[in-house]
Amino acid sequence: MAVARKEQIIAKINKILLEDFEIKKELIRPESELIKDIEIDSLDFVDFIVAIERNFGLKVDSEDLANIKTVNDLYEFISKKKNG
Amino acid sequence: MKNVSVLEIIATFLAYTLFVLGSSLAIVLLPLFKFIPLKEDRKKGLFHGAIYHFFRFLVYLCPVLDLNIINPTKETFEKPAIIIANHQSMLDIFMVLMHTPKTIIMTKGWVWNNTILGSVARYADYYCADEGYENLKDKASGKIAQGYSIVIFPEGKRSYTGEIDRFHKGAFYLAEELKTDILPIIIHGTKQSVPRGKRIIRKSLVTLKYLPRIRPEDNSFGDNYTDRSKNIRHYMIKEYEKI
Repeated sequence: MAVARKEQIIAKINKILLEDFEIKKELIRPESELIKDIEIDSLDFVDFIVAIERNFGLKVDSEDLANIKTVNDLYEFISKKKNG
Repeated sequence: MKNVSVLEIIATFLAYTLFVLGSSLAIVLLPLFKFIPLKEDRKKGLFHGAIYHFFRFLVYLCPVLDLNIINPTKETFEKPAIIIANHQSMLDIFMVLMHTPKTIIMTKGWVWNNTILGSVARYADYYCADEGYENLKDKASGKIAQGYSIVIFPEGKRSYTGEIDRFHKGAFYLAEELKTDILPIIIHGTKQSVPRGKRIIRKSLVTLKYLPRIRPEDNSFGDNYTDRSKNIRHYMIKEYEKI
């Protein structure tokens, strides 16, 4: 059940990156770095917080995102937040 | 792709030689500018004028570039705007700096670290995107008040494929914060002329299409910079495909 939940989270994050941020599909890999590879910038981070809050019903601080370097870090961060 | 012609080799040699000579001349003359008995704004205005004429000269002199300008709204570039353009080739920089002397361009960090280009960029008060758009807002506001337009390639880098890639939001953020028009320019054909990674200027038709200004109060592309960045990109893709 927990695995399926994580898969749902991954699918949802990928959808946000693909549709809201128009990131190319081939760039959305767990090892992709958000700043270096995906080129997420400071304005994107602001939108990212809004998108996470809207899609996952979570409260996120900008400091929370400071330690997130890769797409996989993002998956892990949301999973941990959701599963308490 | 066809073999490189003699004319293309000559055109490339001329363009690079003029570019190196022009840049070197700027490096030599810049330290002497402080001795010119004119106000700093006036001197900067003259410097921008020189850049503008230099790029016009390069583009119009180049024998292998046929330039076609589509200007349905009779745009004069007199009123400041955030000018945005798609980016496929190094030639695009020439294309956006030849419209008006009152232009500030957003550059990448490497430009500032380059001895020659960095000096020119600093004196011309160009911006470095690495500073962050939020931090550039006040500087940009001052320049717009002086009548300057700010040129930004919202893709942030040259496209490898020729497709118009994702737009970063900085240009749209600045336009929203400064309540300034957005003026989109479609650049078509520079990829055929000098694709990314190539150096020879190939014979090609380059088309510049000036799209109508998007006023700050125009909500047809969205009422915030996030929506506008996406919707204006889709609009530009459609207009690019029409050329």
